[in-house]
Amino acid sequence: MASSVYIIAEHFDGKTRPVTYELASFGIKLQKSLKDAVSFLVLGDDPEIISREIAENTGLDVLAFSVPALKSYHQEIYIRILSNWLKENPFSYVLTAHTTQGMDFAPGLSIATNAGCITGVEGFSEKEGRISFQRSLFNGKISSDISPITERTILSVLPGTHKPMDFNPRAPGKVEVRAIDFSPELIRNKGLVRSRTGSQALGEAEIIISAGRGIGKQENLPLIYQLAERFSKSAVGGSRPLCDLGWLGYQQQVGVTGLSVSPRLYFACGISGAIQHLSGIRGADFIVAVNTDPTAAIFNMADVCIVEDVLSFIPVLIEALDKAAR
Amino acid sequence: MEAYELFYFIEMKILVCIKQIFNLETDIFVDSDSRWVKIRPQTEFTFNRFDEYAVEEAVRIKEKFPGTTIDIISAGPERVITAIKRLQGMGADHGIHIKCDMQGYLSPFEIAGWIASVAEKNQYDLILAGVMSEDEMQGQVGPTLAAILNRPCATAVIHQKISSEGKSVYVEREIENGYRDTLEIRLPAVLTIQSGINEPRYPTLTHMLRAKREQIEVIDSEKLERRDPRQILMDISYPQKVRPAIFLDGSAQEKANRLITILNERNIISSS
Repeated sequence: MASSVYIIAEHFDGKTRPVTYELASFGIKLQKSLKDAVSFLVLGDDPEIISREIAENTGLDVLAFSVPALKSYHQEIYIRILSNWLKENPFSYVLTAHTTQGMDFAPGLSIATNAGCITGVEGFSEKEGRISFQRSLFNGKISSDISPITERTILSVLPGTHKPMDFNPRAPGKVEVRAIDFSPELIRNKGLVRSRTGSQALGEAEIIISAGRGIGKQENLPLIYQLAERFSKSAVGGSRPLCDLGWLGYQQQVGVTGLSVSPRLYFACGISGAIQHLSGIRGADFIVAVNTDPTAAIFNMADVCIVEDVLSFIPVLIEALDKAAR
Repeated sequence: MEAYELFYFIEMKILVCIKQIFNLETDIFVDSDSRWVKIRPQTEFTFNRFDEYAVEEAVRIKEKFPGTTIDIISAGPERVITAIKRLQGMGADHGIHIKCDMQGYLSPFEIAGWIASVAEKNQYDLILAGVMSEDEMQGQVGPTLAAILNRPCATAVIHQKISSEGKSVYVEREIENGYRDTLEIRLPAVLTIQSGINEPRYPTLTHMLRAKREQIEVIDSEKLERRDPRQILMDISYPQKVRPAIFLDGSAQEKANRLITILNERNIISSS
């Protein structure tokens, strides 16, 4: 029996997340190497509208599971329903997004289906008939190729690594909705709460000056704000460790669990470039990075690389900017 | 009266999974056979920052429910004992070292399998781990362990509270766009802890001395149930540049001037 590639759609608050279409692109590219059928699985309490939208946009078939208890993502329900389906339907790969949803259920789903699990996948390559998946290691300083040695593998694909392609479907995919009644036993969902507000400032800024651990001490933060003041429509952001230290608010965090940004200029000061951070800045038009470590991964993503200590370089830059503006 | 006693006598058995890593702000080289990385011999080892938050959370539970015991477990060569003892110094009771001298990539499935074998025997009420390791960032050991043990799990936990009966845990998971997902999970369970949930304490001298004296339980990984890996590392390389970058040279002053010219050309700044 032919094997399939299944893509798990990610949606939130009744809307398909953009990463869902990135997964579709990844799946279609993978299909060219595998010749397996590619289709979507959608789970939700009312999945039909989203399913039709995905089928229309991509031309791929969609099987939707309508589960009344699924008001929002729920790990136990996802793993139970998906594994029940996957046990009866042979698959080579299941594609999930490397988000807080995908990362939450992908490993458990792999155990429930006797599959392997590769997370944070950025791409794949084929050598001598063997497919391997790329993912970053050691703060992005190293890239690795991981190859499945089982017939089945669950992948979580890093958002931003695959631009949604022009799907140009000849016809919309088929949509089938199945009602399933399942009540979770071990995990009870108590709803979503807002934990922070005001992230619009960062999302709307045209220029983001961002700080990382390279700034050393909290007392050096004003330097970053002073640099930001030299640009109009600017905002100050930072890497997760700085937010964890309480130096910046979480609404200023850029990266996978923070905000993905697409400013005209992203200015990274003392940021090493962990993949979680880089994933959030792929959409930036232009990236300037200052770091003392010439091998820092941020330089692989930057347009302009400056190997300097931020603390000594920024004052020089501020002075030069002021001089140029006069 | 009875309810009060019930609350007071909750004794949790907690396991915290930790990982030793080397300092990432250092030169990392691809080994000649491209199978794993090489570092300079003097490179210092430390512990995974995310696991420190997990240990702190365990110690806070112990403070609330006296009688709680905390075991810290780590898999790796002899040197990981340093990391176990350092984190034990924050207030954990026992250390368990799964000894394995294998070099190179070990899949999270194999590591979670070893920890599961140990955890099955010890019957923990709660297993904590960092949300991911800083070096490999797979985020898999915690949820994989939970699935092998057939226990519920929540990842990226940014707040937790054990219920007064000790039968469940209220959890807030950090998700995207500034939301938290709130859940009630039946114990025993596995939680992976997101950074920022607390402010990890420094180890106290008393605890450090006790950790130093304490005998770490060493378990040979070969004596544990073997689970065949489901994926292998083919090779590693230096990453390719995503954008055609230019490195500016000269003095700091020259670099600053050159940068301003570039930003001008791109109309990002305008000067008269």
